[in-house]
Amino acid sequence: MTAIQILEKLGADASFNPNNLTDLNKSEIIQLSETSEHFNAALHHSPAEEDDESEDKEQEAEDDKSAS
Amino acid sequence: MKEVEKVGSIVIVGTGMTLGAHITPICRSHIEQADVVFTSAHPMMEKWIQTMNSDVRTLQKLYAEGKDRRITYREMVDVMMAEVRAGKKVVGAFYGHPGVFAWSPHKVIEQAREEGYAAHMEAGVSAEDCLYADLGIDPGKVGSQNFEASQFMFYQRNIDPSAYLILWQVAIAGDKSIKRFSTGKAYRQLLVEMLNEYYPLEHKVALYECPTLALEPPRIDWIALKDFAEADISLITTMVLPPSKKMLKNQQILDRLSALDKKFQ
Repeated sequence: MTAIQILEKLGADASFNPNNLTDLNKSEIIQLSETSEHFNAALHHSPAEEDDESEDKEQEAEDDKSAS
Repeated sequence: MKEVEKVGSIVIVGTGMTLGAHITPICRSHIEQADVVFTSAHPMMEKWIQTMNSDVRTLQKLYAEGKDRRITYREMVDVMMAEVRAGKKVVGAFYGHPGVFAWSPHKVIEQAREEGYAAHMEAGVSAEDCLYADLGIDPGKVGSQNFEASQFMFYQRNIDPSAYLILWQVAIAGDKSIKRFSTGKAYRQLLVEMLNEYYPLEHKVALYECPTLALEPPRIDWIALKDFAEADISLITTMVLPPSKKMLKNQQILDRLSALDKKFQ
């Protein structure tokens, strides 16, 4: 099993015991984890002064200008 | 006569929070059957999704420190829509629930539909779902209020301290620029001052983080509200404030309900 397959099994299989992982399994998971890039979790923003709709309209106006 | 939908389509799915544990059968099926899958999730989660489809493209590279996240979010919509317009079966796979605290998933569906393409969202397991399980909270018991931390600061919100209060994205609380990955202690101290209007400084609050890998336990750190500014937090940290007051009976309505009971029983 690859490191990802092991991690999938850990998440999905209630009978899969992480204590049974071999040293090789553990080192592969650690290596995979260490080579992972930074995770940007923010997918939402709260404008302080203008709402989404006004931003959208402004963007559309800019797009229209660019197209003409 | 019904207008015929164009060839391209998009489905937005959630991967859930923990790799392997939370993805629903329908979300996985959409990923496996897509022509192209765009992802915004933890890098390990993205590597897992790569095992399900041969064309998986990360949206994470669109972020940059100092770049307005509104631009990033619009770019996410643009790259997904480009493939929809090219006639492809597109899937956007976002961590957690794709429609909770996530701008681009809703926007791309709206835009695709406006242009005549089939588009819909499948639900996923959100951080909020995991929080209730891990902290043993039932939001039905006294009620629960959810706010994005910056929005809570920018606008005058009415807080009910007899219900739970859950603040999301506390690491970037007060970021008016929408460009930062972290604001800082002074900003968090201001948030503490705002919360102190409703909660004593010694009030215990939980800092919660849902694990991406089943190898790790969830982070549940109980601290005093006054210590929040100095706490170690990240973009995935959520603050949970239990009630500081008991619910007050609405005696006037209870009396009126009793009168109705007498009349109709």
